Amino acid sequence: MSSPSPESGVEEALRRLEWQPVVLADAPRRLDLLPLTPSWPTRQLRIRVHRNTPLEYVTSLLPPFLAYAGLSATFDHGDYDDSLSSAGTPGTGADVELVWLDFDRYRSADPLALADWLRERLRSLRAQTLAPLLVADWPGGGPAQEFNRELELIREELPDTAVTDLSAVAARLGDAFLDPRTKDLGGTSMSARAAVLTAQRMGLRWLPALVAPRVKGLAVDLDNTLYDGVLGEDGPEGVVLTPGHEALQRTLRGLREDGVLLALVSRNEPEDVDDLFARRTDFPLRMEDFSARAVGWGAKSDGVAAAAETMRISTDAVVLVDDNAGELAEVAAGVGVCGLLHAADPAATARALDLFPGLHGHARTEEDSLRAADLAASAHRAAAPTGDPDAYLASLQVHLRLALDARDQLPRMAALAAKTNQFNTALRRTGQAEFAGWLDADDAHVVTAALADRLSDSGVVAVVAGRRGPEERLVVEELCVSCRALGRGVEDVLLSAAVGRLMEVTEAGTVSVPYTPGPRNEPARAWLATHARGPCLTAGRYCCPGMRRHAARSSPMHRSP
Amino acid sequence: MTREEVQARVDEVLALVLKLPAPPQQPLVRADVDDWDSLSHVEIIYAVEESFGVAFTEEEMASLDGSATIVDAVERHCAA
Repeated sequence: MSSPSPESGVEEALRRLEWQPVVLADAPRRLDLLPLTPSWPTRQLRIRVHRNTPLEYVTSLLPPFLAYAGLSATFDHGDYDDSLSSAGTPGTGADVELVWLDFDRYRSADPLALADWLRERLRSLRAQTLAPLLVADWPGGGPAQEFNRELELIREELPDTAVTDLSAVAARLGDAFLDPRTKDLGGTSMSARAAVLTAQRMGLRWLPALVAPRVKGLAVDLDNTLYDGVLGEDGPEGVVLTPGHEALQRTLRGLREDGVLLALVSRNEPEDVDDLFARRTDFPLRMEDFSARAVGWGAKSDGVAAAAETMRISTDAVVLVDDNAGELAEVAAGVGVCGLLHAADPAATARALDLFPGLHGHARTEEDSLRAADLAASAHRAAAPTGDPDAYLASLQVHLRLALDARDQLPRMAALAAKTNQFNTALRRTGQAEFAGWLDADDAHVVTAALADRLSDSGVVAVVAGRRGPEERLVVEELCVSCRALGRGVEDVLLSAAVGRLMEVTEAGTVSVPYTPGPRNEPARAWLATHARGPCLTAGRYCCPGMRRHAARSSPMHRSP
Repeated sequence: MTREEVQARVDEVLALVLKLPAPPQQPLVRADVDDWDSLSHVEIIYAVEESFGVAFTEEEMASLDGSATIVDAVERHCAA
């Protein structure tokens, strides 16, 4: 299959922009949604549905929302079954297992007993499949709220399990969430509006959070995007922070606190922008909220690329938010971003950000909240003296902490496997459920490595998983290091310690590491080639004869002699 | 809105929901269309209500057995 031409890539990006007012609408219209057919490729999902109520009213509206997220799906709707007996049957290779129950059918049951029953059924399902589980919550008050609190605990207990927030749709619609007219006729009380909003949330938030890459950065324009007016013409005091723009800025701050990096990409004079943020103390967003700034008169695509480099992420993990359709098109043509958002109206833009695929619903880890601060510290690290590697590490007071089989770090393990592209040898994308299986297995272990220095705490930055194979060999299954840890000259020391710790607990004398060539994992290949003492050009397993057992769990880091 | 205009819009809705290649040229009868099951029926009603800004009663919903009765019901509501 040939790659799409740059022209078709731009065309696809612009077609998706055309869908924005329909798909990201506050109240999408069924008749606007049904005719939409994507002209771009989508990733096909298979979703097995365990249910006691019709879901077809929702799934029939899903295709345009999923397509906007780059996905499509076929649904295996099981029989209506209040006992959820299908949870005990073997998995069918589905990409997602969706548990969609109308809990009002169990209304006479004690909510805690109902939650215990569901916990047992979900454990059975978890034992049958490694696929992510998506479980519907119970919209309503009283017993529903009590049940949902238990459901949240179940979510935390079971790896790779997510819970919908159908309650949010119900809270928004109030009485209009239900339509008693269709209870007998169609077997559901969900109203037409509720079905559309549920499909919107499922297609844009719930399913992409389970199977699609996360958006790591938002590149945001200034003029007529974050305020009303043009800085170069109206001046810092002349641009207007409307209530809509204030709400949009607060939305962006909230996303930053969730771990999404913000970049300012603006065609303005840099000193004017500095002056703007110094004077406009009424802006919810402050200059320091932006992890990267690309302000100048060059092409916007160059600005986005520069900002992504500063943020140490690929441009295809960045969404550009801009009011200028021409600049959006120029960026689509110039760099491969993962999304474009036309900021025509601040309220609509805030709403679009609330729904945009890849921005929400992922398991939030401690590292997410550390990301922006860690990035800011990296600029200071870059300024540290670099002549003597040992002196450099010593000056930074780099400290490594290893953890063995840390179950509380399961979300972070899966996040590293899913998000790391550069230093990821196998590109295996191991999910939480499989990591959990390794933690439970006698012959397999997972080591995570956390890194801190005098400038910041980076949190868990690496994961290495492996099992004891024949002939006292450690068979590594997963090995990746966050790009946040790269650039300090510590990755080799860190990985040697982590692999060595795994060798120690598996009593292995040798180690083999898997490699799969990918578009961006050259740093991982280069590291592996050093230890395999060969080029590692093709997919396969490579022995690393120089690796040794390592017993340390925590230590200051200095380069090995 | 004339009956012909209502009919044309109902036909467009039926084509969209039932995924027909084009709006039907003849009146559709529910019993003659395999894909017009109870689930599709509710979706058709939702789409017709949205298109015309009307709300059918539960009894009307159950009695709509083809495009002609849908057009009748829409005209009744629009005239009311």
